[in-house]
Amino acid sequence: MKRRNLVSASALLVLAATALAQDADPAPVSNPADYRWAIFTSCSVAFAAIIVYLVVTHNRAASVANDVAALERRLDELEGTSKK
Amino acid sequence: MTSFRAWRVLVAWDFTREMRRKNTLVAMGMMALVTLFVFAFAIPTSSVELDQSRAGILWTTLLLAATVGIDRAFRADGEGRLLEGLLLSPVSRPTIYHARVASTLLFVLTIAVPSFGLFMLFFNQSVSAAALGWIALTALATLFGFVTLGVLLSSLTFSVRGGDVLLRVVLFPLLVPIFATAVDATSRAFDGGAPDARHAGLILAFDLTFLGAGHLLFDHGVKDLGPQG
Amino acid sequence: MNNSTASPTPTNGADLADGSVPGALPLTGGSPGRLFLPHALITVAALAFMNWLIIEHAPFGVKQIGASYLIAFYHVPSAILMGVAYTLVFAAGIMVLLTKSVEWDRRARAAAAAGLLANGIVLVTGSVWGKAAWNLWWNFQDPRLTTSAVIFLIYLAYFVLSRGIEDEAKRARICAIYGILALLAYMPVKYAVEWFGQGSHPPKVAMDGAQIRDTLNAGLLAFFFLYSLLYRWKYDLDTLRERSDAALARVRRLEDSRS
Repeated sequence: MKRRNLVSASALLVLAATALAQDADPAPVSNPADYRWAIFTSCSVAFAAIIVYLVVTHNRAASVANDVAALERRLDELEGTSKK
Repeated sequence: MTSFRAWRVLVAWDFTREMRRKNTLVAMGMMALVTLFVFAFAIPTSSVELDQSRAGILWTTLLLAATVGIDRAFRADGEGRLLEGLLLSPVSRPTIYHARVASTLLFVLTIAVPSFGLFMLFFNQSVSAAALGWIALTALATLFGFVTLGVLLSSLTFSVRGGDVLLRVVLFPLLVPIFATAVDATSRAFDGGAPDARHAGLILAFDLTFLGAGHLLFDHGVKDLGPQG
Repeated sequence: MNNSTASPTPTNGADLADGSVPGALPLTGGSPGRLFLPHALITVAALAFMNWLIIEHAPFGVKQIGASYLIAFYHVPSAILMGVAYTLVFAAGIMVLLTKSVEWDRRARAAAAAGLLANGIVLVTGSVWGKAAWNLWWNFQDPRLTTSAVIFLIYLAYFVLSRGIEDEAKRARICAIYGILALLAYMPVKYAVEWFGQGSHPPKVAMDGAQIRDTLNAGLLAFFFLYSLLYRWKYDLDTLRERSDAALARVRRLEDSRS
């Protein structure tokens, strides 16, 4: 829960920083081509945040799955002994 | 032929049972009345502005009232257990579905007609005979569409906790196309025009698609209630 | 009835002893627990490559609408893949009804999640484009965007439904039927919004030329990686949740039998 909050908070921070940086130093409106890098970089950051979130939670799920597998093995043993 | 007979018996039985008990009819009627009053306070009711929104008011009222009737199809006291009993009988599953669609459509129409009258009265509308005919035709086909899809979804959600809210959540988005079409067709009828082939095509396509879907899928939906689940 | 609680073998029949997250995927094959990180890295690389193409390769601006068309490289692949994902929900729903397997329900739910993300990106990029084109964040007069919004609501309701039902087998059946109905509603929604929605058609933007095609294809590939990553994530997490629920149920039964 905490790590998830951290990831989303930092993603928001980076996005906000990108937006603020643009405001502080506006490119000439006549040449919107200059915005391209800023815009697509912030999009990339947003997607990167999604992907990092997916990887982090998936990793945690994989470690929980190990615990569940251990629990299942133990249950197999216990159920085996209780039946005999 | 036998399944047609079974259908007729089920429709008549269901309809007379409800007409005697009247719980759902009263609830639907109240819903329609209250919705009309809410609209009277929610939007401007001078004639010019009303001309643009009257079809929407009428259809929102009918949608909310009809949903009460659709929700009742299996949820009202004992209806669920009654369905379990029916599933044990030799009547085929699609027949049960079609019978429930027909009886629910009958209740909905029983309330829709007076609701339309009240709408005309409260909002000081008057229409020609031709427009009235178009509106009636549109309403019949559209309410049929509401009921075909609604009864199917109601059979899925009635046995779930919080199923009444769930029914509305899943039903309303799926009804958007037929609702929009009905509003447009009714609006034209009020303005003295007539619905065109696109309205008829869309509403009929919707009705037939979901009637067919209900025919095929109803059996799967009630599987855990029946004997060979 | 419920074979995941009745027997030690989970419904998907994968080998538990090796400790990997079970469940081979139809799209990617192999053991999903292991290749998730490489998949994520490829996704990042493909998205970066697509962005580079958008900036350096695609022409800057087309006739009618200028530079704002560049957002279409996000919008169009997402719209196409959204359709693919929702079709998978439909197909998996039919499989649930045919095989009565909870496995297909997880696939349907994972596809619905991927579709919903794609749909969300379609809505957000459409809205941003609308701001650039019409100076409006939302415009009900645009039939395509309105259609996507209605479809979004329909599949959002899919998740409300699946969360609302506790029994596994029942949820599988009900969600399967709803997934089938949802796809059937697509054509009516599209035509109703186009014909009887709030009105005017927006200009159809001509997007052709080799460079635009290249960039669109790269976008299609990149977003395919992204949505399949989400599919796997959702699938694996749901599998894990069901496995741990089953294990907990076994613990409880064991406690009951001892006391």
